[in-house]
Amino acid sequence: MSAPATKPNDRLLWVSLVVLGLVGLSVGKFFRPEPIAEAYVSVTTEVRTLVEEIPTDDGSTTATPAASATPAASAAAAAAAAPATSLASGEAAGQPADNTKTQPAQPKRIWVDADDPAIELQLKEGTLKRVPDVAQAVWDVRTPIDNRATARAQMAALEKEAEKLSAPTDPTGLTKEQFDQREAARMAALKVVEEKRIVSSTRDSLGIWVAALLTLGILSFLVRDNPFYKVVESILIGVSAAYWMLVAFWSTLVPDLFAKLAPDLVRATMLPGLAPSKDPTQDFLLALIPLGLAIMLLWRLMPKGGWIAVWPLAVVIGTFAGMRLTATIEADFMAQIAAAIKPAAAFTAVPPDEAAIAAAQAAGTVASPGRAFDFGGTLAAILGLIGVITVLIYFFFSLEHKGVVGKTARVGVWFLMITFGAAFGLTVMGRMTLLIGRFEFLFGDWLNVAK
Amino acid sequence: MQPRKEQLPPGIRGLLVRLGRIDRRWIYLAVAVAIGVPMLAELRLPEVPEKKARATFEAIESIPEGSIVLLSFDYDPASEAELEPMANAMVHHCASRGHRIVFMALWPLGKQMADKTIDSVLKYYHPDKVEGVDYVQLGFKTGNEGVIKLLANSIDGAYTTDAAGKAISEIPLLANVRSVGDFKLVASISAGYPGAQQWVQYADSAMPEAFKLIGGTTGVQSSQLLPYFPTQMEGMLIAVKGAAEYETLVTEKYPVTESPERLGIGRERMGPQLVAHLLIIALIVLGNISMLAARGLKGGAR
Amino acid sequence: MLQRTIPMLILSASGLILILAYFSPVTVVWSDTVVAWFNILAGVAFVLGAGNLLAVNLEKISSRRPGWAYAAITLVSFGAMLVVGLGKWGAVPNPAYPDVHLAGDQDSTQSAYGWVYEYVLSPLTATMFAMLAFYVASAAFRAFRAKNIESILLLGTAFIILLAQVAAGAFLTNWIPEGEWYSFLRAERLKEIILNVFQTSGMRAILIGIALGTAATSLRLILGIDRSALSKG
Repeated sequence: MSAPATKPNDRLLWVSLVVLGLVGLSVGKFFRPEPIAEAYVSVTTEVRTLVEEIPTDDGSTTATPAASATPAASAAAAAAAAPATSLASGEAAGQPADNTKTQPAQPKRIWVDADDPAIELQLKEGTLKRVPDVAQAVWDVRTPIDNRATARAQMAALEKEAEKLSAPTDPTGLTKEQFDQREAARMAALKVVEEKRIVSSTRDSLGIWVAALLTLGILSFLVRDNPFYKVVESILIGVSAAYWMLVAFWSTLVPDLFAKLAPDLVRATMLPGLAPSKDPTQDFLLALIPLGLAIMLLWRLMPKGGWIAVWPLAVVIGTFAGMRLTATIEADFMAQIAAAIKPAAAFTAVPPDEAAIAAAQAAGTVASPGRAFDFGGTLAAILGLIGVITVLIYFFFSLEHKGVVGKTARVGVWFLMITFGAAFGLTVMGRMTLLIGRFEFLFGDWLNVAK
Repeated sequence: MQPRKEQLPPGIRGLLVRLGRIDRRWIYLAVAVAIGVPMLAELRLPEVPEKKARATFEAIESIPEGSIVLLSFDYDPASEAELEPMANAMVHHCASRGHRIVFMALWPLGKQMADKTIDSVLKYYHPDKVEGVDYVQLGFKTGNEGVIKLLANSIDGAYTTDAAGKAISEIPLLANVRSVGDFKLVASISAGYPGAQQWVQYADSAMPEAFKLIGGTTGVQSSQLLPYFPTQMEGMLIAVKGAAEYETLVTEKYPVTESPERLGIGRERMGPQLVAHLLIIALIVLGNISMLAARGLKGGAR
Repeated sequence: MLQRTIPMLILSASGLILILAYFSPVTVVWSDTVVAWFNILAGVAFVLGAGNLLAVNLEKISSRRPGWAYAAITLVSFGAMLVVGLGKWGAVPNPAYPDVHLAGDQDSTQSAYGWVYEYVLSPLTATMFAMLAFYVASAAFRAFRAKNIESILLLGTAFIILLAQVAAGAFLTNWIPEGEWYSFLRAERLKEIILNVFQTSGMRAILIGIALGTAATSLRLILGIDRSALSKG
């Protein structure tokens, strides 16, 4: 093959791609009403108040399983430092009672939504009491709205409603009582409308731009390997390694290992909803084994003594081998043989004919459906069995593929070719769909030219 | 020393040989156009549901209303385009039927996939469903088939809390659910390992009569799962075609008026899919014609 | 002894406990405990992988090997993600425990972790795999040659499946009436026959073969005949 001067052609290609992109974006910006990469969120404000459950007169209380001091107020919540906040593991009462007759039970403290009518009633009745000197926790929850048209329509409707409600009530022809009533209703309605905020989210719009540029960075590899692609690839490697580690940490290591080793600390700092253990000592002792194995596995990273990682590896391989042995024999061997040995003659049910109905009526019974030979089904069953046997013979390499065995193996190969041809067709379908998904993002979410 | 320039035959034959040696970037461009143009033109075609999609639909319809079902999201963003449509349709189907859904994931990013479906379908079309009572998100656990093995014996062997940190004992939906055998139906929407195959091997084999198992799978993995249907898996959806057929069945019986496109993603994607498949066939045919044209040349057939 | 014998004993013991639990319900508690340890170790493996990545990239930077700048970018993105994810930066407070910061939810795009997932990790992962569509097309053009009967069978089946999976198949064969002996030539019927008869039987045989191989390898490992899995390197 000749070595043509590719550099000038490639430069031209890059420049034309960038120019095309810029032209496309400018056309998009000026000739279309909706902006590129717009994102909307609906913002709701959550407010929680710390309350105490007041014990009932008969003295039955639900004592807290473990009263431990929380750390100082975190950045997210506006809670002031309470001396000892006992953490509940649920909003409703229902903890297993620990009746200690010698000490008075500590009242359970829970965070509730004070606007909830049921909670308001309980506060009025006195079964719940607001804890003084502890500020309410207030935060915004931003929920993305994926349908832009709906979001824009909702925003416009809310703006119109708010404008309508902002106009003060006309007092003409109303008594003072009626006017006050109407004003109160208007203020209440205005408050409700103002709380429903739908805003355009810069953070998410920026995110869509970032995602689009990163996507184009990966796609640029199709033109040629280039530094932009390498940078994006490096970011992907770093972010995914950290993400997988964090997912494993929060989903498994914290609740299944650390929670057993130091339940109080975990309950206080990370999983306040953790249920108390039936036997914490047994849990702790048993958890020392996976802790030890985990340390041994991580020791592999150390310059000396990395061989100790073989011990936890032995547990993993042994467990894996033991699980797989029985599962594959049952599901992939026995069950598959059973499914392959279908009845060689297949029949379909047909409605009974007139003679059968008459005979059944005479005998005082109902005619049962008849059977018809199903040629297609029978052929399919026989072909399927031939397929399984011939392919298995093909894979039997310790027998020389000559003569009868050779011919049978050849038939097996044909079955395999059909198998792989179908697999290829389905693979192509799968891969194309993935690309369709990315184009939907680029054209729909980013450029806003497709739905 | 410069190699001798190859002598190509004149006319159409030469053109075909040259076409066979075309820079692959032109092929990439052809793929991009084959997918981009139908997408922008919003090409939509009707879907006729076939046997496997019908079997999947029947599996969910046949269990008593209000049953507790387990949906395992065993895929990540790499396969989202194929599997999200079937996940959305399945959740809408179960919720419309009144079934109570337990979400879980065997892939690290599967929980995010489940959250996306919960937000876009469950909370949108069924805002009356209460978390903890009508559905619960258990989240992801490491261990692949080890998680299924533990679930086969007891739920709280695998999960002590749900994804939000609430203790399993505090969740009303799971009050009478001891192990995976207490579910009436288990669905695995899977892209590979671990996935539907592991659910067959470790859950269905352990208790074959306890629950119905259905699998939604990518095109790539579907070959592996075909032998399990219909003896070990009662329903199976293959790739975006299966998703589109299933969507048709679900939206026919349980239509939605607002934002119906959330349950039509699979059908939307079949338009560009058609053109892409025709392109692949054309490329294979062209490649073979070029090979025939190049027979006997010094450079040989490529 | 410590490097070979004890690990072999541990491997055999773990495997035997799992196999025993299959036959005897009494031992299920032991097997569940071992599987629970397995799941925890699977989680620790993610941490080990991350640690290994750190070590490799740090070494690349310190020895200034070609491409070390990319290793630095990998480390910076790794570090930033780790800090953000461990500290749950910007997490939405848990409504039941708003005073416990680390009990918050960081999966929505409101938090930094959720934002990075939605706008960095998810599109990058998806795009990496979407690239395969281009490679499949290029491979189909360059490598799929019908040179003998086997390849003709493979390509012919692929064509039928490719057409039948989209509307083109129905369009081409809808003129064939149902209920006749030749109705099997309709695209959807052909596809069903290929998938349910041929592909199923072929894959079934492959599954049986894999099952036998898995069982044999597992037994060899558990009985200590095959020691390659635990040898160094």
